[in-house]
Formats: sequence, C-alpha cells, structure tokens
Amino acid sequence: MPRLTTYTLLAAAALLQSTVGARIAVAEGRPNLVLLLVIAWAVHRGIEEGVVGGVVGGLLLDVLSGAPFGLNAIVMALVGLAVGVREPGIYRSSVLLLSTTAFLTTLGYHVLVYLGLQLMGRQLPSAAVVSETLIPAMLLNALLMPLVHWLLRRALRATSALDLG
Amino acid sequence: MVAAAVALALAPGPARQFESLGSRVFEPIQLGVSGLVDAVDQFWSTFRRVGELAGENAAYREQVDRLQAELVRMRELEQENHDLRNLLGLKQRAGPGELIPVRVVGSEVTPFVQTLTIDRGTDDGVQEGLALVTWRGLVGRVIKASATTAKVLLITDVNSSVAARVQDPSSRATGLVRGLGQDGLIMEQIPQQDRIETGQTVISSGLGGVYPEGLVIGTIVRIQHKDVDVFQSALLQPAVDVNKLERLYVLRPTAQSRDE
Repeated sequence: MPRLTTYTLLAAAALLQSTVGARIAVAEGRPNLVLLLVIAWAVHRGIEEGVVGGVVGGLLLDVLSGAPFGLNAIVMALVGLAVGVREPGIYRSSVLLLSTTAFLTTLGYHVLVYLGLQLMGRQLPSAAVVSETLIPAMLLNALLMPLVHWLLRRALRATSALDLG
Repeated sequence: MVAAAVALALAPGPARQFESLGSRVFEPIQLGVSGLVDAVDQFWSTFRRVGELAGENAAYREQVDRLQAELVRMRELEQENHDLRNLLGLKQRAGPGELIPVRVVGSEVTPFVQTLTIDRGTDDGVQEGLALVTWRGLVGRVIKASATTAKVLLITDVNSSVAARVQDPSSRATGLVRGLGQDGLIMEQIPQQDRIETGQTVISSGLGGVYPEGLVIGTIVRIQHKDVDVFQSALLQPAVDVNKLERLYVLRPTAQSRDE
C-alpha cells in the first residue's frame, strides 16, 4: 500500500509538472515535483525503494516529456540511489538537511541529464542558459522539499490507517 | 333671505362690496384647501410614478444587460474575424495544405528540452515531421505521433534547426536558425557578404523539405559580425511567444503540394 500511494503521487506529480508546472516559473526556475517526491521516498524508505521509485517516476516523466525515452528513468534511479544510501532517520530531525539534500540533488540531476544528453549525441544549451534556470530551480526545490516530505509522510500515514482499518 | 338676494342683485354697489368681502374671507381658506389638494395630488402622482419608475428601471437594466451581452459577443466576433483574416493570411503564406487545429495538453520547457504535447495524433492525420504554426509564425515540428497525441519540438529547442532566409527582397540572406534553449533563436551560417539589418523578418526558406517555405520565424534583434569569420550570425526574437500559445494548427500538406 505505501508503494501504491507513492507511485500514485508520482503519477500525479508527473501530470502536474507537464501541465501546470511548465507555466510556473520563479526567476526562470521551475520546481521538479517528481524529483522532490523521489527524494522524499528515498529518504523515507532507503536505497532499494529509492531506486525503484526513481525508475517509476523517471519513466512517467519520459512518457510525458519530449526528452529521450529512458533518460529520466536512469537519472532518477541514480538520484534514488544517492539519496537512499543514507540512514532514513538522519533526515527526520533536520529540515535544513532535507533542504540541502534537495538543493544538491537538483544540481546532480541537471549534471546527469546534461551528461546523458551529451552521450546521446544531442545538442546542448550554453552554460549561461543552463545556469539561468539551474540556480533558481535548486533554491525552489530546497524550499519545497520539507513540504513535499511532510505531505508524503501524511499520505503514507493516512493510507496505512486505511489499511489497518 | 330671497328678498335680500334679490335686493343685492338689483343694487350693483352693495353687491360688489359683498362679493369683495366674501372673496377676502374665502381666499385664504381656498388657498389652503387648494394647496392641500395639490399636495395630496402630487404625493399620489409621485407614489404612482415610483411604481412606474421601478418598472422602467427594470426594463432599462434588462436592456443594458442585453446590450452588454451583445457587445461582448461583438468583441468576440471581431476577434474571430481578426483571427480568421490572419489564418487566411497564414494559409496563403503556407501554400496548399490543410490546417488541423490543435490544443496544447502538456509542455516541457527546460534549457535541455523544449517540447509540447498536442491533443491530435495519427488518427487525425498528424504525422512526424509536420510543422506546428500559429498565424504569427512557426512554432515547431512534430517529432513523435501516437494515435491521439503528438509531441512537438519547439524551434527554440537547441536541437531544432530551420533553413531560413531574410524576407527583405533587398537582402534575401540565407542561413540556419537554431534554438538557444530558452526563448531565443540564432541564425547562423549567413555569408559575410550578405547584408542584414536589425528589424528584418526571417522566414523559413523551404530548403531541405523539412519546413514549408514562407513561415515567419522571427525578427533580427542583434547581428554578430567579425571580419575574420566566413559567416556572420544574428540573434532573433521569435515571432511566436511559446509561453502564450493559442490557436495552433498542424500544417499538413496535400498530396498535390507534396508532389510539387
């Protein structure tokens, strides 16, 4: 049931991102809801579930986006791996640690996507263009991370209560 | 009493005096009563008028509402007229072909990927390679088409390139327009000897057969020119704002125009 809840949330996040998300920009930066959920799931359940959640979230993004199919699945799996490798408990007491993780993971995500596109022989935007959106995106994700983490935990608690009921 | 009346009638002098006295006595009373009657009459008229005014007011409000609705409808018709004129212009510029109206159902606007998802697919005749346009100009090209939806690569995507030329007959400089990953475009490989100026419109040249000829791409805003280089380049302001897309069409060439 927790997996089903998270995968449903990932699908909703991917849909939101492809419809509303593209229209929401703060200083050229846009939040990545799927990335935030993958981070939250990896933080909550550790490395294995983080990787699987990343693959699911990434595949959903690949279906809805115009990026080469499979790129997001691979990158998100690596994100789930990198974040999930820490002990889950370490995040629970620190909002700052969660935000910092999201901040750095957003940078890592962009670097991995950049490298992936380069390996696929795609043209890449200039560093100036990337940096215009990257730093605002990192800050946005860092701000939203504690909220997304809290929402995921509430959703999981609610569905667990339904399970037991 | 009768005798007194007859006597008054026969004697003009006393009759006039009596009349004058009577007038003086009755005048204020007459004035008072008349004023009172007038006031009552006025009040009653006003009372009746209020009812009439309320009715008139309601009728005027209805008329205003109706006229306002008509005004809104007329503005819509005016806008539609404007759009249809532009669409006719677009059809004339785009050449023979069918314009399939589409709507955007999803989008991805990042520096790495700039794509749209539209609500028509192969079931509606949308195929890979077809151009997406508005009356303002070129938006992108279909890169993937499923039965009911299709993905479009925007011309502002770094992986997009359009064979182009300057519309100005005194120039006709040719080049290749590439996306810069955000809102900008750059026209490259323009021969140094070709004269270009800011403000000139750039259109698709049709070379290579990827995009039809004559679709507006953008306007030159800055020229990058070095004497030592073989080519010059120019930054363009796109004709279409990808953040405000409306009234989109996929341009599907007819069999006749494909053969030409």
